[in-house]
Amino acid sequence: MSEAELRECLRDAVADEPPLDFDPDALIERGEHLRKRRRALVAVGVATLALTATVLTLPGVLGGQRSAQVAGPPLITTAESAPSSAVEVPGVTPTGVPGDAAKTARAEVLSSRLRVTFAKFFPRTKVVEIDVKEVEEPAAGQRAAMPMTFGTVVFIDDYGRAELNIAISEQTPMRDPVQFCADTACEKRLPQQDGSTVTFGTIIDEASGRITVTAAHFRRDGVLVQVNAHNFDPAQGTAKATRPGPAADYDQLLLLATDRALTTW
Amino acid sequence: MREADEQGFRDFAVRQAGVLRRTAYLFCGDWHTAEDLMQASLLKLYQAWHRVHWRENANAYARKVLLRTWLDEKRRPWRRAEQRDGELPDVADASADPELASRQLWARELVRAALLEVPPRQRAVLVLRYFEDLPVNEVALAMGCTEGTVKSQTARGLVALRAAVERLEAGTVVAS
Repeated sequence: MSEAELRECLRDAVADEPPLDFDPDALIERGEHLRKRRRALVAVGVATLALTATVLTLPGVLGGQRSAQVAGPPLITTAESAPSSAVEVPGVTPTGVPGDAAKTARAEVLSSRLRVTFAKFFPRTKVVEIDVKEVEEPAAGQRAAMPMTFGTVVFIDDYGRAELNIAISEQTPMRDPVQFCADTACEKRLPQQDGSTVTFGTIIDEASGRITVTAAHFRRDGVLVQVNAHNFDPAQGTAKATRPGPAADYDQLLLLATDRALTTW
Repeated sequence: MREADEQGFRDFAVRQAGVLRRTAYLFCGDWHTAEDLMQASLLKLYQAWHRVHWRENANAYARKVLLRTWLDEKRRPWRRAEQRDGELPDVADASADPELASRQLWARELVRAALLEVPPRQRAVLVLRYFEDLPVNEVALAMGCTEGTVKSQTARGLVALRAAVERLEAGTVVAS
């Protein structure tokens, strides 16, 4: 079969073509229908994606807002406190936030306050880390564990790395001045203008030479703020003293313990 | 779509519907399937008309769409036709000259049946080159391959077609 014959045969092959019943308007209508359907599907897909993205990113955004609140402009002043301890602190009280989120928010606010307060009373130091968290401390004679806010400030001064510990809790029969002095060698007791008291104590480990000084502020509102300073680095687990004396003196401990920015909710 | 574009597509569709259906028939060997292929191709063309209409050769694009639509359709599981052996039905046209009609019918059925034995892409090349009378470069454009491939597919297609015709003329009738 030659190419010419093939051409002719192909033309003959379509000679019995049935009549064409083609309606362009029907085709266009169908095309429009398909186009609308495709647009609707795309719109639904985009909306679904947007919704999914919103749901997935919302916790992060809210977390960022909480952080922004923490780092926001100064709002609270401790007007009730003694003049020496009055300090502007940033942040707002994150009340009304349930569960772990509330704990985290409170810890962030307190961490921010602690950073401001510490920088004010320890000007020649460099803060390495401030960690604040709420813990449940089992309390003797209590039905439930007592909540306690525990903060750690790691900083560097002229002698090197040091650490301060701040514990904020409600006063209980196990957390009163008498019990405090039973555990710690109390040295002096300073009555404050508002009627509260600050008790200083020292714990000395004769074998290693490690010393921990502590100031406990028993406030009238029932809050106990306890600040510890050491002549060693608890985080490093050093067995021996790393500096001549504790990393904070009594005045600094007093200022921290009586600062009204450090409190519970 | 703007009204002018829509009118342009409508004119194009009316003008090309018959041509596309005939080409589709030679691809698939069935007028109903050819009608479906033509409709589906024009529908796809309508969706893309805003990109196509300004091109110089919308016909070539339409052929390409038709070819792709057919090849896609052929790949679908329910389109995988089995090879069947059997006699072609004797369909006579009573209104025509019996001798002429018989000869035309024989030639038509012979080529149609032989063409359906040629592999799809070679069949497409043969249809585009010898039915549509397209030059090699336009066939290559429609097929999405090089001109060298078109030439080689044409040669192989012609060999396959001649072999099929010889078999059919020898009495072994094969239909799709």
